Amino acid sequence: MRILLIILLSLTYLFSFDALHVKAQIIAKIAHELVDKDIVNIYTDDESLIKTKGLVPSLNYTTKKNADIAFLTHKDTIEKTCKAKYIFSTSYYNYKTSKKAIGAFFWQKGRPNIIIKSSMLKKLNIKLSQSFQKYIE
Amino acid sequence: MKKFLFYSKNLFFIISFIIFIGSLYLYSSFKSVLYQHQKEIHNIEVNRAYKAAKKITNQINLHINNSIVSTIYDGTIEKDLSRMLSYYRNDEFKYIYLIYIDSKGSLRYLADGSTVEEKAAFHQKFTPSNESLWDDALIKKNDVYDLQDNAEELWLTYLSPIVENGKVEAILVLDISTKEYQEFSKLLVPLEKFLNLFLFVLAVVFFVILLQGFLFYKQYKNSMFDSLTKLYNRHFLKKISLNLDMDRLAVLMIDIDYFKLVNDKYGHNVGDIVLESVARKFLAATRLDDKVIRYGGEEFLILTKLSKNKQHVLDIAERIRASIEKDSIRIDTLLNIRVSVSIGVNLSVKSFSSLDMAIKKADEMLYQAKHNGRNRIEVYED
Repeated sequence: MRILLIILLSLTYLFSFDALHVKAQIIAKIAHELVDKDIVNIYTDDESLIKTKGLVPSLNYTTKKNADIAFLTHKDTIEKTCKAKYIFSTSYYNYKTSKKAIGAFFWQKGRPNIIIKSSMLKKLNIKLSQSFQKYIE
Repeated sequence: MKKFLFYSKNLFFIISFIIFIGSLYLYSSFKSVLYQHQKEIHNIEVNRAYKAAKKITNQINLHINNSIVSTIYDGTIEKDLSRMLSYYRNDEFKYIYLIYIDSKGSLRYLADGSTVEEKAAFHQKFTPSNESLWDDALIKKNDVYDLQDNAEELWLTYLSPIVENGKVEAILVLDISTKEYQEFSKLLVPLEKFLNLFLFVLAVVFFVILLQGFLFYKQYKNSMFDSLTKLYNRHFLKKISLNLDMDRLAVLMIDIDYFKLVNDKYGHNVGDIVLESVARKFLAATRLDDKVIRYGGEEFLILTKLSKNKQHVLDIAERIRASIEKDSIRIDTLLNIRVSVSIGVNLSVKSFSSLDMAIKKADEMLYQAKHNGRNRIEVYED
Protein backbone atom coordinates (compact mmCIF):
# COMPACT_ATOMS: atom_id res chain seq x y z
CA MET A 1 0.00 0.00 0.00
CA ARG A 2 2.79 2.38 0.97
CA ILE A 3 4.72 1.57 -2.20
CA LEU A 4 1.62 2.21 -4.32
CA LEU A 5 1.14 5.60 -2.67
CA ILE A 6 4.78 6.51 -3.25
CA ILE A 7 4.50 5.49 -6.92
CA LEU A 8 1.32 7.56 -7.33
CA LEU A 9 2.86 10.60 -5.70
CA SER A 10 6.04 10.25 -7.77
CA LEU A 11 4.03 9.99 -10.98
CA THR A 12 2.00 13.06 -10.04
CA TYR A 13 5.26 14.87 -9.33
CA LEU A 14 6.86 13.72 -12.56
CA PHE A 15 3.96 14.66 -14.79
CA SER A 16 3.08 17.94 -13.17
CA PHE A 17 4.23 21.13 -14.85
CA ASP A 18 6.91 22.59 -12.66
CA ALA A 19 8.37 25.88 -13.94
CA LEU A 20 11.49 25.61 -11.76
CA HIS A 21 12.40 22.20 -13.14
CA VAL A 22 11.65 23.35 -16.68
CA LYS A 23 13.95 26.35 -16.15
CA ALA A 24 16.71 24.10 -14.79
CA GLN A 25 16.38 21.73 -17.74
CA ILE A 26 16.51 24.57 -20.27
CA ILE A 27 19.57 26.11 -18.62
CA ALA A 28 21.27 22.70 -18.74
CA LYS A 29 20.29 22.23 -22.39
CA ILE A 30 21.72 25.63 -23.36
CA ALA A 31 24.84 25.17 -21.21
CA HIS A 32 25.70 21.77 -22.67
CA GLU A 33 24.99 22.98 -26.20
CA LEU A 34 27.60 25.71 -25.86
CA VAL A 35 30.14 24.30 -23.41
CA ASP A 36 31.82 21.00 -24.12
CA LYS A 37 32.25 19.86 -20.52
CA ASP A 38 30.63 17.16 -18.41
CA ILE A 39 30.13 19.63 -15.56
CA VAL A 40 29.46 23.17 -16.73
CA ASN A 41 30.22 26.10 -14.43
CA ILE A 42 27.37 28.58 -14.48
CA TYR A 43 26.63 31.88 -12.84
CA THR A 44 23.35 33.70 -12.48
CA ASP A 45 22.19 36.83 -10.68
CA ASP A 46 18.55 36.13 -11.48
CA GLU A 47 16.52 35.38 -8.34
CA SER A 48 14.27 32.82 -10.01
CA LEU A 49 17.18 31.01 -11.67
CA ILE A 50 19.26 30.86 -8.48
CA LYS A 51 16.52 28.58 -7.14
CA THR A 52 17.38 26.00 -9.81
CA LYS A 53 20.70 25.34 -8.06
CA GLY A 54 21.11 21.65 -7.34
CA LEU A 55 18.33 20.49 -9.65
CA VAL A 56 20.66 19.42 -12.44
CA PRO A 57 23.78 17.51 -11.34
CA SER A 58 25.79 18.49 -14.42
CA LEU A 59 25.61 22.20 -13.56
CA ASN A 60 27.98 23.73 -11.05
CA TYR A 61 26.81 27.12 -9.78
CA THR A 62 29.88 29.27 -9.31
CA THR A 63 31.10 32.89 -9.29
CA LYS A 64 30.87 35.30 -12.23
CA LYS A 65 34.65 35.07 -12.67
CA ASN A 66 34.80 31.28 -12.92
CA ALA A 67 31.66 30.66 -14.93
CA ASP A 68 31.68 29.16 -18.42
CA ILE A 69 28.20 30.50 -19.06
CA ALA A 70 26.11 33.12 -17.29
CA PHE A 71 22.42 33.96 -17.15
CA LEU A 72 22.25 37.59 -16.11
CA THR A 73 19.62 40.13 -15.20
CA HIS A 74 21.74 43.20 -14.46
CA LYS A 75 23.00 45.22 -17.36
CA ASP A 76 26.25 46.13 -15.57
CA THR A 77 27.08 42.52 -14.88
CA ILE A 78 26.43 41.64 -18.49
CA GLU A 79 28.53 44.42 -19.94
CA LYS A 80 31.32 44.80 -17.40
CA THR A 81 31.90 42.42 -14.53
CA CYS A 82 31.01 38.95 -15.77
CA LYS A 83 33.92 37.03 -17.31
CA ALA A 84 31.92 34.12 -18.71
CA LYS A 85 32.45 33.41 -22.39
CA TYR A 86 28.77 32.86 -23.05
CA ILE A 87 26.30 35.35 -21.60
CA PHE A 88 22.54 35.02 -21.72
CA SER A 89 20.31 37.86 -20.63
CA THR A 90 17.18 37.11 -18.67
CA SER A 91 15.43 40.15 -20.13
CA TYR A 92 14.63 40.81 -23.73
CA TYR A 93 15.46 44.51 -23.45
CA ASN A 94 18.96 43.88 -22.04
CA TYR A 95 19.57 41.27 -24.69
CA LYS A 96 18.58 43.67 -27.45
CA THR A 97 20.76 46.48 -26.16
CA SER A 98 23.74 44.36 -25.10
CA LYS A 99 26.95 43.96 -27.06
CA LYS A 100 28.04 40.93 -25.07
CA ALA A 101 24.92 38.80 -24.65
CA ILE A 102 24.84 35.88 -27.03
CA GLY A 103 21.18 35.27 -26.33
CA ALA A 104 18.26 35.66 -24.01
CA PHE A 105 16.38 33.24 -21.83
CA PHE A 106 13.35 34.64 -20.11
CA TRP A 107 9.87 33.71 -18.91
CA GLN A 108 7.02 35.45 -20.67
CA LYS A 109 3.29 34.65 -20.83
CA GLY A 110 3.77 31.56 -18.67
CA ARG A 111 6.27 30.05 -21.09
CA PRO A 112 10.02 29.89 -21.55
CA ASN A 113 11.50 32.01 -24.36
CA ILE A 114 14.92 31.51 -25.91
CA ILE A 115 16.45 33.84 -28.46
CA ILE A 116 19.99 33.59 -29.81
CA LYS A 117 21.80 36.31 -31.75
CA SER A 118 23.26 35.03 -35.03
CA SER A 119 25.88 37.83 -35.17
CA MET A 120 27.25 36.69 -31.79
CA LEU A 121 27.36 33.10 -32.95
CA LYS A 122 29.48 34.19 -35.90
CA LYS A 123 31.69 36.32 -33.69
CA LEU A 124 32.33 33.48 -31.27
CA ASN A 125 32.53 30.95 -34.09
CA ILE A 126 29.78 28.74 -32.69
CA LYS A 127 27.73 26.23 -34.61
CA LEU A 128 24.54 25.14 -32.91
CA SER A 129 22.77 21.82 -33.37
CA GLN A 130 19.55 21.51 -35.37
CA SER A 131 17.33 21.69 -32.29
CA PHE A 132 18.61 25.22 -31.56
CA GLN A 133 18.24 26.64 -35.06
CA LYS A 134 14.67 27.84 -34.45
CA TYR A 135 15.87 30.16 -31.66
CA ILE A 136 18.42 32.00 -33.80
CA GLU A 137 17.59 35.48 -35.13
CA MET B 1 -16.46 -29.19 6.27
CA LYS B 2 -13.26 -28.88 4.19
CA LYS B 3 -15.30 -29.28 1.03
CA PHE B 4 -17.66 -26.57 2.20
CA LEU B 5 -14.72 -24.28 2.92
CA PHE B 6 -13.23 -24.95 -0.51
CA TYR B 7 -16.47 -24.19 -2.34
CA SER B 8 -17.29 -21.15 -0.19
CA LYS B 9 -13.83 -19.71 -0.92
CA ASN B 10 -14.38 -20.25 -4.63
CA LEU B 11 -17.76 -18.57 -4.37
CA PHE B 12 -16.17 -15.67 -2.53
CA PHE B 13 -13.70 -15.14 -5.40
CA ILE B 14 -16.44 -15.34 -8.01
CA ILE B 15 -18.65 -12.84 -6.14
CA SER B 16 -15.67 -10.52 -5.58
CA PHE B 17 -14.83 -10.69 -9.26
CA ILE B 18 -18.43 -9.89 -10.25
CA ILE B 19 -18.47 -6.96 -7.81
CA PHE B 20 -15.17 -5.74 -9.23
CA ILE B 21 -16.40 -5.91 -12.83
CA GLY B 22 -19.66 -4.18 -11.83
CA SER B 23 -17.77 -1.44 -10.03
CA LEU B 24 -15.48 -1.01 -13.01
CA TYR B 25 -18.52 -0.61 -15.24
CA LEU B 26 -19.96 1.93 -12.83
CA TYR B 27 -16.67 3.79 -12.76
CA SER B 28 -16.36 3.89 -16.55
CA SER B 29 -19.97 5.16 -16.81
CA PHE B 30 -19.21 7.96 -14.34
CA LYS B 31 -16.02 8.76 -16.17
CA SER B 32 -17.82 8.86 -19.48
CA VAL B 33 -20.37 11.35 -18.09
CA LEU B 34 -17.52 13.39 -16.68
CA TYR B 35 -15.70 13.30 -20.01
CA GLN B 36 -18.82 14.42 -21.86
CA HIS B 37 -19.20 17.30 -19.45
CA GLN B 38 -15.57 18.31 -19.88
CA LYS B 39 -16.00 18.12 -23.62
CA GLU B 40 -18.99 20.44 -23.39
CA ILE B 41 -17.00 22.92 -21.32
CA HIS B 42 -14.20 22.64 -23.84
CA ASN B 43 -16.59 23.32 -26.75
CA ILE B 44 -18.16 26.29 -24.97
CA GLU B 45 -14.72 27.76 -24.33
CA VAL B 46 -13.54 27.20 -27.90
CA ASN B 47 -16.75 28.75 -29.20
CA ARG B 48 -16.20 31.80 -27.01
CA ALA B 49 -12.63 32.07 -28.26
CA TYR B 50 -13.86 31.85 -31.85
CA LYS B 51 -16.39 34.66 -31.33
CA ALA B 52 -13.85 36.80 -29.49
CA ALA B 53 -11.28 36.20 -32.24
CA LYS B 54 -13.71 37.27 -34.95
CA LYS B 55 -14.65 40.39 -33.03
CA ILE B 56 -11.01 41.28 -32.40
CA THR B 57 -10.06 40.59 -36.03
CA ASN B 58 -12.78 43.01 -37.17
CA GLN B 59 -11.41 45.63 -34.80
CA ILE B 60 -7.86 45.01 -36.07
CA ASN B 61 -9.02 45.51 -39.63
CA LEU B 62 -10.54 48.83 -38.66
CA HIS B 63 -7.24 49.91 -37.09
CA ILE B 64 -4.97 48.82 -39.88
CA ASN B 65 -7.15 49.86 -42.72
CA ASN B 66 -7.32 46.25 -43.95
CA SER B 67 -3.58 45.85 -44.49
CA ILE B 68 -1.38 44.14 -41.99
CA VAL B 69 1.64 44.34 -44.28
CA SER B 70 1.58 48.13 -44.34
CA THR B 71 1.53 48.33 -40.53
CA ILE B 72 4.38 45.93 -39.80
CA TYR B 73 7.01 48.65 -39.90
CA ASP B 74 4.80 51.35 -38.49
CA GLY B 75 5.61 51.69 -34.80
CA THR B 76 2.74 54.04 -34.07
CA ILE B 77 0.04 51.58 -35.11
CA GLU B 78 1.58 48.92 -32.82
CA LYS B 79 0.69 50.96 -29.74
CA ASP B 80 -2.89 51.46 -30.91
CA LEU B 81 -3.27 47.79 -31.70
CA SER B 82 -1.76 46.71 -28.38
CA ARG B 83 -4.09 49.03 -26.52
CA MET B 84 -7.07 47.73 -28.46
CA LEU B 85 -6.07 44.10 -27.75
CA SER B 86 -5.66 44.89 -24.07
CA TYR B 87 -9.36 45.90 -23.91
CA TYR B 88 -10.29 42.29 -24.57
CA ARG B 89 -7.96 40.95 -21.91
CA ASN B 90 -9.77 39.50 -18.91
CA ASP B 91 -9.60 36.51 -16.52
CA GLU B 92 -10.56 34.24 -19.36
CA PHE B 93 -8.40 35.61 -22.20
CA LYS B 94 -5.18 36.05 -20.29
CA TYR B 95 -2.89 36.99 -23.18
CA ILE B 96 -3.97 38.39 -26.53
CA TYR B 97 -1.31 39.18 -29.12
CA LEU B 98 -0.72 39.49 -32.80
CA ILE B 99 2.12 37.64 -34.48
CA TYR B 100 3.31 38.36 -38.01
CA ILE B 101 5.54 36.43 -40.34
CA ASP B 102 8.63 38.35 -41.39
CA SER B 103 10.33 38.18 -44.78
CA LYS B 104 12.56 35.31 -43.55
CA GLY B 105 9.53 33.32 -42.39
CA SER B 106 10.20 33.96 -38.69
CA LEU B 107 7.33 34.72 -36.35
CA ARG B 108 7.46 38.08 -34.58
CA TYR B 109 5.24 40.13 -32.31
CA LEU B 110 3.26 42.85 -34.04
CA ALA B 111 1.17 43.87 -31.06
CA ASP B 112 0.61 42.58 -27.57
CA GLY B 113 -2.31 43.32 -25.28
CA SER B 114 -0.62 41.84 -22.22
CA THR B 115 0.28 43.66 -19.00
CA VAL B 116 3.58 45.57 -18.86
CA GLU B 117 5.31 42.65 -17.08
CA GLU B 118 4.27 40.12 -19.72
CA LYS B 119 4.29 42.36 -22.75
CA ALA B 120 6.57 41.40 -25.62
CA ALA B 121 8.49 44.01 -27.57
CA PHE B 122 7.51 45.12 -31.05
CA HIS B 123 9.20 42.75 -33.58
CA GLN B 124 10.34 40.45 -30.79
CA LYS B 125 11.01 36.95 -32.10
CA PHE B 126 8.33 34.43 -31.20
CA THR B 127 9.10 30.70 -31.03
CA PRO B 128 5.97 28.56 -30.76
CA SER B 129 6.07 25.56 -28.45
CA ASN B 130 3.67 23.62 -30.66
CA GLU B 131 5.03 24.10 -34.16
CA SER B 132 2.58 21.75 -35.87
CA LEU B 133 -0.35 23.80 -34.57
CA TRP B 134 1.16 26.94 -36.07
CA ASP B 135 1.87 25.16 -39.33
CA ASP B 136 -1.81 24.18 -39.42
CA ALA B 137 -2.91 27.78 -38.96
CA LEU B 138 -0.47 29.04 -41.59
CA ILE B 139 -1.10 26.38 -44.21
CA LYS B 140 -4.81 25.63 -43.79
CA LYS B 141 -5.61 29.26 -42.97
CA ASN B 142 -8.20 28.07 -40.48
CA ASP B 143 -8.70 28.81 -36.80
CA VAL B 144 -6.96 26.14 -34.72
CA TYR B 145 -6.43 25.54 -31.04
CA ASP B 146 -4.53 23.25 -28.73
CA LEU B 147 -4.56 22.45 -25.05
CA GLN B 148 -1.58 23.83 -23.19
CA ASP B 149 0.50 21.40 -21.17
CA ASN B 150 3.72 23.33 -21.08
CA ALA B 151 2.66 26.75 -19.90
CA GLU B 152 1.82 28.10 -16.49
CA GLU B 153 -1.84 28.80 -15.75
CA LEU B 154 -2.82 28.42 -19.39
CA TRP B 155 -5.44 25.98 -20.52
CA LEU B 156 -5.81 26.53 -24.23
CA THR B 157 -4.19 28.52 -27.00
CA TYR B 158 -6.42 29.67 -29.86
CA LEU B 159 -4.94 30.82 -33.16
CA SER B 160 -6.92 32.82 -35.69
CA PRO B 161 -5.07 33.59 -38.97
CA ILE B 162 -5.51 36.98 -40.59
CA VAL B 163 -5.45 36.44 -44.35
CA GLU B 164 -4.70 39.10 -46.90
CA ASN B 165 -4.76 38.41 -50.62
CA GLY B 166 -4.92 34.69 -49.96
CA LYS B 167 -1.84 34.76 -47.72
CA VAL B 168 -1.65 34.52 -43.95
CA GLU B 169 0.00 37.77 -42.92
CA ALA B 170 -0.53 37.53 -39.19
CA ILE B 171 -2.04 35.35 -36.52
CA LEU B 172 -4.16 36.53 -33.64
CA VAL B 173 -3.38 34.49 -30.53
CA LEU B 174 -5.66 34.09 -27.54
CA ASP B 175 -4.19 32.32 -24.54
CA ILE B 176 -7.07 31.11 -22.40
CA SER B 177 -6.46 30.92 -18.71
CA THR B 178 -7.03 27.79 -16.64
CA LYS B 179 -9.08 29.98 -14.29
CA GLU B 180 -12.33 29.72 -16.24
CA TYR B 181 -11.89 26.04 -16.79
CA GLN B 182 -11.22 25.56 -13.10
CA GLU B 183 -14.39 27.51 -12.29
CA PHE B 184 -16.36 25.26 -14.61
CA SER B 185 -14.76 22.16 -13.19
CA LYS B 186 -15.07 23.18 -9.56
CA LEU B 187 -18.08 20.92 -9.03
CA LEU B 188 -16.58 18.06 -10.98
CA VAL B 189 -13.21 17.94 -9.29
CA PRO B 190 -14.43 16.38 -6.01
CA LEU B 191 -16.43 13.82 -7.97
CA GLU B 192 -13.44 12.99 -10.13
CA LYS B 193 -11.22 12.73 -7.07
CA PHE B 194 -13.75 10.43 -5.42
CA LEU B 195 -13.92 8.27 -8.55
CA ASN B 196 -10.15 8.04 -8.79
CA LEU B 197 -9.95 7.09 -5.13
CA PHE B 198 -12.75 4.60 -5.66
CA LEU B 199 -10.90 2.99 -8.55
CA PHE B 200 -7.69 2.92 -6.58
CA VAL B 201 -9.38 1.22 -3.61
CA LEU B 202 -11.09 -1.15 -6.01
CA ALA B 203 -7.80 -2.02 -7.68
CA VAL B 204 -6.16 -2.65 -4.30
CA VAL B 205 -9.08 -4.82 -3.16
CA PHE B 206 -9.00 -6.79 -6.40
CA PHE B 207 -5.26 -7.16 -6.14
CA VAL B 208 -5.63 -8.52 -2.59
CA ILE B 209 -8.38 -10.90 -3.76
CA LEU B 210 -6.20 -12.13 -6.61
CA LEU B 211 -3.26 -12.54 -4.28
CA GLN B 212 -5.41 -14.44 -1.78
CA GLY B 213 -6.75 -16.59 -4.58
CA PHE B 214 -3.28 -17.29 -5.88
CA LEU B 215 -1.96 -18.16 -2.42
CA PHE B 216 -4.97 -20.34 -1.72
CA TYR B 217 -4.55 -22.16 -5.03
CA LYS B 218 -0.82 -22.60 -4.41
CA GLN B 219 -1.43 -23.92 -0.91
CA TYR B 220 -4.17 -26.20 -2.17
CA LYS B 221 -1.93 -27.51 -4.96
CA ASN B 222 1.00 -28.00 -2.60
CA SER B 223 -1.17 -29.96 -0.22
CA MET B 224 -1.79 -32.51 -2.99
CA PHE B 225 1.86 -33.17 -3.82
CA ASP B 226 4.79 -34.78 -2.12
CA SER B 227 7.47 -32.13 -1.80
CA LEU B 228 10.40 -34.53 -2.40
CA THR B 229 9.27 -36.64 -5.35
CA LYS B 230 6.69 -34.15 -6.76
CA LEU B 231 4.29 -37.09 -7.04
CA TYR B 232 0.76 -36.97 -5.65
CA ASN B 233 0.42 -37.71 -1.95
CA ARG B 234 -2.12 -39.60 0.17
CA HIS B 235 -4.12 -36.40 0.64
CA PHE B 236 -4.71 -36.41 -3.09
CA LEU B 237 -5.64 -40.10 -3.00
CA LYS B 238 -8.22 -39.35 -0.30
CA LYS B 239 -9.63 -36.52 -2.38
CA ILE B 240 -10.09 -38.55 -5.56
CA SER B 241 -11.01 -41.90 -4.00
CA LEU B 242 -14.76 -41.16 -4.00
CA ASN B 243 -14.84 -40.19 -7.66
CA LEU B 244 -12.93 -43.12 -9.11
CA ASP B 245 -14.58 -45.58 -11.44
CA MET B 246 -13.77 -48.83 -9.65
CA ASP B 247 -15.02 -50.90 -12.60
CA ARG B 248 -12.26 -49.60 -14.83
CA LEU B 249 -9.34 -49.35 -12.47
CA ALA B 250 -6.18 -51.27 -11.72
CA VAL B 251 -3.95 -50.73 -8.71
CA LEU B 252 -0.19 -51.16 -8.60
CA MET B 253 1.58 -51.11 -5.25
CA ILE B 254 5.36 -50.67 -5.54
CA ASP B 255 8.07 -50.86 -2.94
CA ILE B 256 11.82 -50.26 -3.31
CA ASP B 257 13.69 -53.39 -2.29
CA TYR B 258 16.10 -53.06 0.64
CA PHE B 259 15.56 -49.32 0.80
CA LYS B 260 16.19 -49.33 4.56
CA LEU B 261 19.70 -50.67 3.87
CA VAL B 262 20.35 -47.79 1.46
CA ASN B 263 19.33 -45.30 4.13
CA ASP B 264 21.36 -47.04 6.82
CA LYS B 265 24.47 -47.40 4.68
CA TYR B 266 24.57 -44.09 2.79
CA GLY B 267 22.34 -41.81 4.84
CA HIS B 268 18.99 -40.16 4.25
CA ASN B 269 20.28 -37.68 1.65
CA VAL B 270 21.26 -40.54 -0.64
CA GLY B 271 17.93 -42.19 0.18
CA ASP B 272 16.15 -39.06 -0.96
CA ILE B 273 18.07 -39.04 -4.26
CA VAL B 274 17.05 -42.66 -4.84
CA LEU B 275 13.40 -41.80 -4.13
CA GLU B 276 13.50 -38.86 -6.56
CA SER B 277 15.13 -40.95 -9.27
CA VAL B 278 12.69 -43.82 -8.87
CA ALA B 279 9.75 -41.37 -8.94
CA ARG B 280 10.99 -39.95 -12.25
CA LYS B 281 11.08 -43.45 -13.71
CA PHE B 282 7.52 -44.11 -12.55
CA LEU B 283 6.37 -41.00 -14.36
CA ALA B 284 8.31 -41.96 -17.47
CA ALA B 285 6.75 -45.42 -17.54
CA THR B 286 3.14 -44.32 -17.04
CA ARG B 287 0.63 -42.30 -19.03
CA LEU B 288 -0.44 -38.75 -18.28
CA ASP B 289 -3.82 -39.76 -16.88
CA ASP B 290 -2.32 -42.43 -14.60
CA LYS B 291 -2.12 -41.33 -10.97
CA VAL B 292 1.29 -41.94 -9.43
CA ILE B 293 1.15 -41.50 -5.66
CA ARG B 294 3.77 -41.63 -2.94
CA TYR B 295 1.90 -43.83 -0.54
CA GLY B 296 4.38 -44.11 2.28
CA GLY B 297 8.16 -43.85 2.86
CA GLU B 298 9.37 -45.98 -0.06
CA GLU B 299 5.94 -47.25 -1.07
CA PHE B 300 4.24 -46.01 -4.20
CA LEU B 301 0.81 -46.50 -5.63
CA ILE B 302 -0.21 -46.26 -9.26
CA LEU B 303 -3.85 -46.02 -10.28
CA THR B 304 -4.33 -46.74 -13.92
CA LYS B 305 -7.36 -47.17 -16.17
CA LEU B 306 -8.23 -50.76 -16.92
CA SER B 307 -9.26 -51.50 -20.47
CA LYS B 308 -10.50 -54.79 -21.90
CA ASN B 309 -6.97 -55.74 -22.62
CA LYS B 310 -5.45 -55.99 -19.15
CA GLN B 311 -2.00 -56.58 -20.57
CA HIS B 312 -1.22 -52.88 -20.72
CA VAL B 313 -1.29 -52.72 -16.89
CA LEU B 314 1.19 -55.54 -16.70
CA ASP B 315 3.27 -53.77 -19.35
CA ILE B 316 3.42 -50.68 -17.15
CA ALA B 317 4.49 -52.78 -14.17
CA GLU B 318 7.15 -54.53 -16.20
CA ARG B 319 8.42 -51.28 -17.71
CA ILE B 320 8.86 -49.87 -14.23
CA ARG B 321 10.52 -52.97 -12.83
CA ALA B 322 12.87 -53.39 -15.79
CA SER B 323 13.88 -49.72 -16.05
CA ILE B 324 14.76 -49.53 -12.38
CA GLU B 325 16.67 -52.79 -12.47
CA LYS B 326 18.53 -51.77 -15.64
CA ASP B 327 19.94 -48.37 -14.76
CA SER B 328 21.96 -47.63 -11.65
CA ILE B 329 21.27 -44.34 -9.87
CA ARG B 330 24.14 -41.88 -9.97
CA ILE B 331 24.59 -40.26 -6.57
CA ASP B 332 27.91 -38.51 -7.29
CA THR B 333 31.06 -39.12 -9.30
CA LEU B 334 32.14 -41.95 -6.98
CA LEU B 335 28.85 -43.56 -6.06
CA ASN B 336 26.26 -45.32 -8.20
CA ILE B 337 23.51 -47.33 -6.56
CA ARG B 338 21.52 -50.07 -8.16
CA VAL B 339 18.10 -50.77 -6.70
CA SER B 340 15.12 -52.88 -7.64
CA VAL B 341 11.41 -52.76 -6.96
CA SER B 342 8.76 -55.31 -6.11
CA ILE B 343 5.29 -54.74 -7.50
CA GLY B 344 1.89 -56.00 -6.46
CA VAL B 345 -0.87 -55.62 -9.04
CA ASN B 346 -4.61 -55.81 -8.46
CA LEU B 347 -6.49 -56.19 -11.73
CA SER B 348 -9.87 -56.88 -10.09
CA VAL B 349 -10.57 -53.69 -8.24
CA LYS B 350 -14.28 -53.81 -9.10
CA SER B 351 -14.72 -56.90 -6.98
CA PHE B 352 -13.73 -55.00 -3.83
CA SER B 353 -16.16 -52.96 -1.75
CA SER B 354 -13.82 -49.99 -1.46
CA LEU B 355 -10.61 -48.60 -2.88
CA ASP B 356 -8.90 -49.18 0.48
CA MET B 357 -9.69 -52.86 0.23
CA ALA B 358 -8.40 -53.01 -3.34
CA ILE B 359 -5.19 -51.28 -2.28
CA LYS B 360 -4.87 -53.72 0.59
CA LYS B 361 -5.06 -56.58 -1.91
CA ALA B 362 -2.35 -55.01 -4.06
CA ASP B 363 -0.28 -54.65 -0.89
CA GLU B 364 -0.72 -58.35 -0.21
CA MET B 365 0.51 -59.11 -3.72
CA LEU B 366 3.48 -56.85 -3.09
CA TYR B 367 4.25 -58.78 0.09
CA GLN B 368 4.07 -61.97 -1.94
CA ALA B 369 6.52 -60.55 -4.49
CA LYS B 370 8.90 -59.69 -1.66
CA HIS B 371 8.47 -63.15 -0.21
CA ASN B 372 9.16 -64.79 -3.56
CA GLY B 373 12.55 -63.15 -3.93
CA ARG B 374 11.92 -59.41 -4.71
CA ASN B 375 12.48 -57.56 -8.04
CA ARG B 376 9.36 -59.20 -9.38
CA ILE B 377 5.68 -58.61 -10.09
CA GLU B 378 2.79 -60.54 -8.53
CA VAL B 379 -0.68 -60.13 -9.97
CA TYR B 380 -4.11 -60.65 -8.46
CA GLU B 381 -7.06 -61.33 -10.73
CA ASP B 382 -10.43 -62.95 -10.03
